[in-house]
Amino acid sequence: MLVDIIYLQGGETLLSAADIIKKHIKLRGKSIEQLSQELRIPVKTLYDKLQNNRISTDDLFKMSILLDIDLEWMKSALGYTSPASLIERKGIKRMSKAYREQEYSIVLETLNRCISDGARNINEIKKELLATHTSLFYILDVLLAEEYSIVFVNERSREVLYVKPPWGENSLIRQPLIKGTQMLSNIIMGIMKG
Amino acid sequence: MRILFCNITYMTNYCGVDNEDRVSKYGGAWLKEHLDGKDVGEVYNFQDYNHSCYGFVHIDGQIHIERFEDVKSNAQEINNVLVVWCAKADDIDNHVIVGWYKNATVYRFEQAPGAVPSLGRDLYYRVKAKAEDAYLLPEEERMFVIPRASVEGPGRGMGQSNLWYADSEYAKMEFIPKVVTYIESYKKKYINIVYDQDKLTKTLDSNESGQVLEEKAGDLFEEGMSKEEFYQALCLINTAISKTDSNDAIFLRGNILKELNCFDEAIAVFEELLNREGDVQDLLEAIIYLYAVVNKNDKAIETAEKLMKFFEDDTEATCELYSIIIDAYDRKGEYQKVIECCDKIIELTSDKDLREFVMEHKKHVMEWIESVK
Repeated sequence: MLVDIIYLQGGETLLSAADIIKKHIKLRGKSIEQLSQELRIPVKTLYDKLQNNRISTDDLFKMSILLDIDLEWMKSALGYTSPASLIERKGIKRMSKAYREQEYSIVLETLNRCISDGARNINEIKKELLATHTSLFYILDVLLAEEYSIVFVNERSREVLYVKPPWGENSLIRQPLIKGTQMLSNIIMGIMKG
Repeated sequence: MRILFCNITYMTNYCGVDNEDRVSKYGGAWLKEHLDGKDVGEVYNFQDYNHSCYGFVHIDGQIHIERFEDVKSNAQEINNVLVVWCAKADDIDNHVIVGWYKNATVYRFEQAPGAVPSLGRDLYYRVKAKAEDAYLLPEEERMFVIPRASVEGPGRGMGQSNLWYADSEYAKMEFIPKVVTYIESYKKKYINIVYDQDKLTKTLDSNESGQVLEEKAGDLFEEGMSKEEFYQALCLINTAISKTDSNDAIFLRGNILKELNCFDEAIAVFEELLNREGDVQDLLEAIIYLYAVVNKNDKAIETAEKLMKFFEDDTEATCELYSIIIDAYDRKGEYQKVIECCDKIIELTSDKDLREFVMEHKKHVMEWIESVK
């Protein structure tokens, strides 16, 4: 089975399996050549697989072991998740701390570049972030601290991304669910304020 | 006539802080300290929030509404006030009129109704008016200067307070008539958006099918990040519905209306769908927070109880529903019921933080009950 770019119902674009693997190659301080040796496949074959996002299930499992990829998280990142409801609010697995630390500087660089390039408003910055990093889920997974949960809520034919903040953020008896795009606005505002 | 001048920070749209619309440097220390990305202060004074505008002005203590004629000393609010909003932009030397509310209600004390999670924003206000009675001037028209008492003399302009009751003889006989004439004779445009029925039912000229339009509306709703984009999505879905009476399209319309803070209309949409489809889980979930935000507390409780059946095996979801019920009984002032529901959560939940929070809440409620006995 080939794992291609996955779209959740409703159009949420996620990272591809190949994107995730490339990022973890970097995270583990390896090279594609090293990985190809460990997988016992030609380098060119591995390059092709990563370039064209043609990762077989067998490849995926082997690479997840060699690169220590959290498969539970990867399942969510690739869109294999059961959407929750506004009441159930089951958060999906977040990326590992080490991975987040690696990716945070990359996303932050994009954000700072937008700000210094004189983006007119927060919406422009958000759109640029999404154009560069593809996935709202990925961006929030990177930018939000571990205490936050990310929830996909089933709204008829669509899954809409929400964020559940940790306890203590407000005085309400329960936490609010904040729409993902709104949460991103809040994060950008916070970063802009320094 | 009743008129009140309120000095606030200068902004363009007063629909929230954005990179394009920030508070001026004359925002005041309180606003800057509390703003920090939160929905506070006067930053939303001209946002149509379920057909009302909620006006904030920062003062310490109360608005002395008894200073208005025929108002009792213990009155808590007065109606039919012309509230004139003034501000000082960074690049001009004077305070100018930026807009006004007609037929406004002015409250003696700050109003801060409890917020509802997942929906809308916290409300802090001193003044309330119908959105259709709120008028915000474009920046190029903000030229009517409000004098300063420090320059013109006592009773002849705004003092250090952010309020001016303008009840001196000079103000009543000379200044207020000028302001009223200015307001009554202003016939140019206003820039605040009012979501009236025409606006909310607008359709587009399109040859595309209902299904395609619904898809476009859905994509824009998901990716949309501004009220303008949500409004575009609304026009698309209105057009889609005019071509195909699809329940999913109507559901999407309800969600879009929520994003535009048109809660009453959103409730009407979901109630229509409940009539069509019965008590379906996603409809009940969509509507329960709406009932809470518009204070239809009995309906919120009734809906929570219906939803319990869908989550019989899910204790945390059940606790979420009890939380909604607690908030509703809190708003109704039925504190014994609040305590009963707190006990249910305490018994059910495995979430230590939630249990502690609820126990603390129960303790506060019990103390309050004791204090008023």
